[in-house]
Amino acid sequence: MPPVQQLPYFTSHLERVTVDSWQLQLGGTLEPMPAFLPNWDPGVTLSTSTSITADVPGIFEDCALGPDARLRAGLRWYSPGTGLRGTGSHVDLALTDGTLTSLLSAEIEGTQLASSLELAVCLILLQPGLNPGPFTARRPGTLLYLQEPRQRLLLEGEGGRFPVELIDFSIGRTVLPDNAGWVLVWDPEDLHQPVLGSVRLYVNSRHERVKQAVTLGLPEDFGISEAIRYDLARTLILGALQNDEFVNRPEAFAEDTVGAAIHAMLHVYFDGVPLHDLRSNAEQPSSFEPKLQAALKVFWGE
Amino acid sequence: MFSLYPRLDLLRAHHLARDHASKSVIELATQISPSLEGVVFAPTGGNRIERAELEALRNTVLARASSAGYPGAPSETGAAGFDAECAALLHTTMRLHPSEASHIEVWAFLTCQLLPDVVRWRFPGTAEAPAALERYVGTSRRGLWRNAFGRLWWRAHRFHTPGRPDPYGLLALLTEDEIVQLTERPSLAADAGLLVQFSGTFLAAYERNTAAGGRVARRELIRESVKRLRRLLPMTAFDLLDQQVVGSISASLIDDTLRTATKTPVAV
Repeated sequence: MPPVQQLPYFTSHLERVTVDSWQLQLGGTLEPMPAFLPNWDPGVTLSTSTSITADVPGIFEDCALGPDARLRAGLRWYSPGTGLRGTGSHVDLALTDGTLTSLLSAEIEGTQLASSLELAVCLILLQPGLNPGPFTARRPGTLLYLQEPRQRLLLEGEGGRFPVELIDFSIGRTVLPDNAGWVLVWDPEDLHQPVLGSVRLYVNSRHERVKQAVTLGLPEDFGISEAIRYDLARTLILGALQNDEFVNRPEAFAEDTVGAAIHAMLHVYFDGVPLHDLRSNAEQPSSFEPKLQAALKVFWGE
Repeated sequence: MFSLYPRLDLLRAHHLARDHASKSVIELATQISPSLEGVVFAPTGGNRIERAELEALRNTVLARASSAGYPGAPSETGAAGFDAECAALLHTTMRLHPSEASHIEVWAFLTCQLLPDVVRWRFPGTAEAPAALERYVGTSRRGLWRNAFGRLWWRAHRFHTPGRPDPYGLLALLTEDEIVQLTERPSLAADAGLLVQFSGTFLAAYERNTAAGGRVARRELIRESVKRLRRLLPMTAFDLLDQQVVGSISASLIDDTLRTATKTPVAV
């Protein structure tokens, strides 16, 4: 289903609601929420909070709500890794509240989360009142304001951005040579899959040099790290450019999918170049691969 | 306390799955060797499962499969009954939490190493197209939802209604098509409260309509009702409403579907 372009009812102007910075309880004290938690443990409950200030009369005016309408401001969370959603605390609003400041918080069990956590404040209609106007929201639960962009917390550290796993290539397999260094496992024919659920870089734990480059990232391993980085980008880009759906409708891939990730990558490395042109170009490796090396600045160390 | 299960890397899982898909149920059953060699466990989040517990899990699932005809081909009703029972069984006995259950490698171990014969039995395929690899590894378009056991655990988790006399009752009441309609849409499946309310309301409305002589097909009712609900999801936060209100909105959507369907001339 395509995303909603225009809502069929009046909504609040974004400036009517101010959301303060998000806080996370770490080691007994509240601290500004970091971008990621390198030592995240599913056994730990995350405590988070933010403070909101809402211009309630302004919101009523924007939404053409009658004085007897009731609203609710609340905290919602979603974890793309588990696909689970939940809520934190909420506060109900009436026209007579004027400008209202409130603390919203949530206690989220780590067992409900994987890969990342998204948090957002939203404002919904609770009761439409007796005489709603023609373009006034009427159904309870209708979103009148949604914080964008959402607050995002990456769990499981840097590894969560691109799943990397160390395995011994010599155990139980006949498909890989024992002495290979790494392999990327993914499905270029289905780019709707989530990156975290379907793409894996397997590194041979028997290959000490490669293993060290991936796990420690020491300066002396720069060459190996760059070779892997180039190989991954090349594999993903060339694979996606063979996919007709990707080339024809790259915007069709939802956030966090493989297709969206590769589209974002191409936006960075080949900004403004139509995908059909890139595909044609990629059919001539001697021309395309130097361009890719240049775009990625491979081995330049920048 | 939660349990941590062995994780089978996808490379090895794909290799095993290709091999399993060409073998018979009996062949696979005689080759079971749930080796823990080369598998990894999550570092935190519970206690590592013991080998004896894995064997007990295999025996319990196998007993359920046997009562549904294993190793003989399952009938449609036998397969549906097995799915409902096995889903509840996995959810109650595995002591998994959603974070651990979201890792496809956990399910790849179950399907490729512990219970490959049951996967082959449950999804026999045809002579031309044997059991799909996605039933072992589950990395197709719908990812985890296609894995033979991962999909069952997640169904049980989403339809679980603690406090009711039969907390997994919805799994037996809903058909396969209805469960697919309700759970394979991430935006709907994410909200367990809405899912349970909507499902219960749908079942009650269909029963009432049928008792009153209504002619709306059950399949049509769920498909059209879910379409109406999905249209609301991008602009509605059901999870911030009281469950009673969610139930009321669900009933209103399903009643609208029934009214519209009743007005449509029935094809003869």
